Amino acid sequence: MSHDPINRSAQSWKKSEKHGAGEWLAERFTSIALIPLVLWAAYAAFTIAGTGYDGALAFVSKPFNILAIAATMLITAWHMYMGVKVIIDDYIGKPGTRGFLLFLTFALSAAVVAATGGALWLVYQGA
Amino acid sequence: MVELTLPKNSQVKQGKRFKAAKRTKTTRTYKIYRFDPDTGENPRWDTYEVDSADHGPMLLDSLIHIKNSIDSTLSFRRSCREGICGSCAMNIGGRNTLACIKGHDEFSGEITIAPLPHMPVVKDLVPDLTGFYNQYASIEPFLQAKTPDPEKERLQTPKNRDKLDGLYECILCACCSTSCPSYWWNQDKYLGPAALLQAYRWIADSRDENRKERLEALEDPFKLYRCHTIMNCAQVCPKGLNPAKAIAEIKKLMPAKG
Amino acid sequence: MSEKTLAPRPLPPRPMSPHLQIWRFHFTMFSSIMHRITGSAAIGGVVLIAAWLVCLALGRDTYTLFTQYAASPLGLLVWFGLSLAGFVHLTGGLRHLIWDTGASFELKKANALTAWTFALGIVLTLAFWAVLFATGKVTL
Repeated sequence: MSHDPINRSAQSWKKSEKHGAGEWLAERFTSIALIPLVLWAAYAAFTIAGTGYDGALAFVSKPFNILAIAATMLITAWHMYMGVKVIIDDYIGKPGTRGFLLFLTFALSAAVVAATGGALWLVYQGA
Repeated sequence: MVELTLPKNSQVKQGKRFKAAKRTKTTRTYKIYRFDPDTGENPRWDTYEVDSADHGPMLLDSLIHIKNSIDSTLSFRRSCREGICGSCAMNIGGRNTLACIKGHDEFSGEITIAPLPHMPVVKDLVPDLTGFYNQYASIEPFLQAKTPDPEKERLQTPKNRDKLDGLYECILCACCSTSCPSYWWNQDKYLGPAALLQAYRWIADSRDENRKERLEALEDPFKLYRCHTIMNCAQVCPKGLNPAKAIAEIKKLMPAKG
Repeated sequence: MSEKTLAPRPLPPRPMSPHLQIWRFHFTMFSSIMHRITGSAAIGGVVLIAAWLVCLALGRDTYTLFTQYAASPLGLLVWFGLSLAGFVHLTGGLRHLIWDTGASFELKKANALTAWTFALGIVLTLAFWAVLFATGKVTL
């Protein structure tokens, strides 16, 4: 073990990083927001399924749907980043590995947002 | 940090078998974790066949019987034998509990007895709880008031006193903390369910005037927020307390600090 | 070592007591791990949906190529698995939100809540696919 809890004094345990409540609230906020958004996404998937390129394009081009897709994907990416960060913080002790994995997670979340934004923009321009 | 397997020096080998002279209907088999710090050898599982007609109904009775009449080298902590001191906390049949209030008839087949999980072992069933006690000390488990002392005691309404029920009964046996996977992986950074339940016991006390300071001292991604409501703590608490709920109450108070 | 509290002391190397090796899982411990697994698996779904959007934006040819794979039996199996992960994670999240209010911590209630949220996740998934097949929107 790299850290020995036995050698950590009561005094050192009293220190706190003085944050965590904000992250906790953000996790709850995104969770609550995602309940209706994911159910809407299931409805959207049902509507689009089997309608081919034209049907899908028609659905995604509607302004309300563009906004809903953007909101769903943005909040999902945020929620996803926070969730994976919790897992990394739990399991990975080495600062270097932890930092690298956090960077990868952030990059993936950012890529999802960028891809969604770019695609929606293209669809909106074409409509 | 997660380590799914045991380090090399901790892997448990097969040990000795102490056979009963004569097996009867009431003979039980105990597989007990043994570690002798003097030999420096790896820990081992020793097996004891014991006629439960020879001793009392509780697992502590079985252990005392083994120590008295089969193998005097077996070490374990015990004191009150009635579930109030917390000394004989150990892992029995894969769950943490107090040996003195758990009957051997509550288990079928071979009964596995090991020290509290993921802790440094001093000898046999005796874990080193220094880190656990330091975590407890750090939450300052005593009444703190800024106002001058009243002439007599600080009074509390019955309703406010009721808020401490389910908290003050904790005997610090460490069953909950050592049942928690988050504590297993991060006990050098996470306070664990026992210390957090005790922290909430003082946060919830109407006579304590340092609620805000107590909450500020707990706001930390690791000290508090490694709790993911896995619920092992509440599932194993031999006193029937619910550390998971106490931690949830702390989390609820945290954003507004009170 | 001027600590007044229990001071650190030098110790001989001590073995670590067994943990996962001996632990008998509780239902809530299992569900907690499942929440992690379903959440991680759902990331695959998010990436695929983003890819689907990009293919849609790139035009008819790319989109047709995507749906060829997505609507194949193997593709449908993947979507089914991802939707199961998503729905079970959604209802698991609902369970955690209920716990966050301080409710349903009593062991019996906590176990029941866990069972119900699991069941709801599975039912939502099956209902979703039943409707998709029943309306003929998806065929094998």
